[in-house]
Amino acid sequence: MKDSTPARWVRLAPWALIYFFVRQVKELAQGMIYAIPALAVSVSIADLFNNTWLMAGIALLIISTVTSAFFRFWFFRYRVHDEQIEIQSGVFAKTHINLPFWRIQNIRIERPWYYRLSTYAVLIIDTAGSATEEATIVAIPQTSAIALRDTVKAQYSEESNARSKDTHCNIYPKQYQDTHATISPESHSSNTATIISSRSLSDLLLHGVTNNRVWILLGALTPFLDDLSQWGVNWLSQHGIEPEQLIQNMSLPWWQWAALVLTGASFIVVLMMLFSVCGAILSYYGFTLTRDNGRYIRRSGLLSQQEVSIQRSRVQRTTIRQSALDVVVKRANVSFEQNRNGQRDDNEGSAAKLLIPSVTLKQAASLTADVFSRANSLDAPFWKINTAFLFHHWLVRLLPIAVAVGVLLNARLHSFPTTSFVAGIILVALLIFMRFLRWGYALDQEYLYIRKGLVGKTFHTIPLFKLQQVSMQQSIMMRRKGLVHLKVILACGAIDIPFMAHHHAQYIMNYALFKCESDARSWM
Amino acid sequence: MADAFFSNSQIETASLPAVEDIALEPVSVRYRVLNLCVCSCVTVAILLMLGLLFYQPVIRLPQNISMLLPFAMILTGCLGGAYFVYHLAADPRVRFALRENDLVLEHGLFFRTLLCQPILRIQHVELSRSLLQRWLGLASLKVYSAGGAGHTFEIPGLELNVAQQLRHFIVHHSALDAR
Repeated sequence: MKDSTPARWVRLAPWALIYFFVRQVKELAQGMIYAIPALAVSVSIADLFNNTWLMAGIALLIISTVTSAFFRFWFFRYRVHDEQIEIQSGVFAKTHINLPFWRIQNIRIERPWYYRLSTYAVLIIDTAGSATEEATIVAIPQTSAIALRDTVKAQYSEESNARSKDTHCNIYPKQYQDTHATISPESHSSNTATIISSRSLSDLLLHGVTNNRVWILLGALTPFLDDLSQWGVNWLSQHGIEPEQLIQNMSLPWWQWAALVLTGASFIVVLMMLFSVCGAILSYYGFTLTRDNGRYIRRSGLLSQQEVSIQRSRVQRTTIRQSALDVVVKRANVSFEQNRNGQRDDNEGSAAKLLIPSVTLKQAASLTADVFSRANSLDAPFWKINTAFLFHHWLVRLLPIAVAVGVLLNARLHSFPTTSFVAGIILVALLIFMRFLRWGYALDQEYLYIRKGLVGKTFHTIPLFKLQQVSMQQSIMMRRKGLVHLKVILACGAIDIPFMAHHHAQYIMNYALFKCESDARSWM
Repeated sequence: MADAFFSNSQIETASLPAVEDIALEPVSVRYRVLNLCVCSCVTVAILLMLGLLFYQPVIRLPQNISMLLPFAMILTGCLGGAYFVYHLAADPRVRFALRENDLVLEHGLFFRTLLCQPILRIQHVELSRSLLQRWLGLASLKVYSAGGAGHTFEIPGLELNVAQQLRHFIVHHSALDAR
């Protein structure tokens, strides 16, 4: 705690220079990325290297980056005193951040790969306010960072103890609190940290395979496949290889060709899976989820180690998400979501969301019950939404689009591709039907459960007392049929339930308002 | 209090305070007048500009633009008319209510929306008054919660004194102190 208590201003360790340099390079790269295609089109690489002006420009850029990193480092000071963190930074535009401990929502300790040889860490402090109020102490000794985090945590837990007892568990008898006996043998009141979930390498492999984001990239590339293959063929012929001649010369039987194409395709798929698996291992290696005094701490990362912590009482919603492949292997990703306002990004590493990858369904249920006592999102008796959802999407949305596309295709093409057009429409109609089947909602004394999805499934658990706002919307047609859209707004975002029975929506709205307004517990 | 509630395991639907039973009150009549005036003035101004452009002898417009101008005028007229009719019918349907613990707002012509904002969750309150609203003695009450900027609860077209009373009630609500 040596560095975290004195009232004098502290300058960062020289190691911070690397951090500022890397950040500067990143910012530069982000700025330059738009200029690259223009450069690539207009000049050739040989010209670039022969241009002295350009080389001088690059040298200047490097020097200015290094100098700017140095100045950023030199003008950065911080101090911790009187239960607040103060940071002064900026070269020309000076910034003075003053953060009282009570306003701190999250403290993250990150160790980028280039910090691995040192004893330093990056301390990122989130507040409940806007994103601009996020503060980063760039190179602070790891022990000081941990000490500072513990001080802030202790301050918060004192405050929350004074405010009321624990937000969730104390309202239930003891025997209900630890329904998650399989993964959390110790009680909530224990002062020692309890590891409630850890992921093995095989779990991460599975996560990489089932949550393959490369498919999305491939899907986005589909319209350009023709151009890409043409570009590939051109590139080959520039290097003296003519694929068409190759095929003719080799004169392979068709089945061998089919096998070759199949092998090629599987190779690409395997390569993508490998990328995805590597990504999963990079982000989640050594994953542990710890509960320490009403706070969840996630530690993971192979190269850059990351630590994200969330106060248990600040979790606004839990989500169990299964991708299509997850449904097959009976795994799911669980995420604890907190106040999203003011967060810069919504990715898995952000503090707005704490993600636990590829757990079994039983573990997912236990983790949910760990945050929200007695929540039972997977086995809740879900009500279906009204079939009007189907007719609305088929007749009001799909039909006009199908007619418009059909007319356009008919006008543009010589022969109308009837079979594929009809097959496409049937596929979309089927997907709408599957979406309808997945939609469901359930209510118990404490929570609203929502199930949705297409091929995969998503289960949301919403504690009703954390409601921020609620609304019902109905069109003239819906009014006649006694249906409404219900929108439940939380600090982590809004959720819609479409085409539900009016009397159900009314009941949920009234009950949620009653829970929210009669419950003294804070949503934070 | 929590114990008293949790010992009561079943809650009768009939006993819950129901949002649909509230007698909602309309916003000021001048809100509709203001919207209709603004709509008419903007439409007439655009029509006049287009008309002047069409009939002026000073600049010779390209053929295709002068051909399009009458269509633009018809489109402006139609859109302005539709907007006028919409406000004529929809503005009286903007209604609100204040309960002990929440604010309720109903609005919309084709899509009726019933919104409810618990006072306990309010982060801050704002009275906003544009120049025209100031002339007519109107104000909009904006209520911000942690639901985000997209879910700001706004009651438009309130009489200034009503808006101030509402603001005063919210700011001095005991629920906000408890938080």
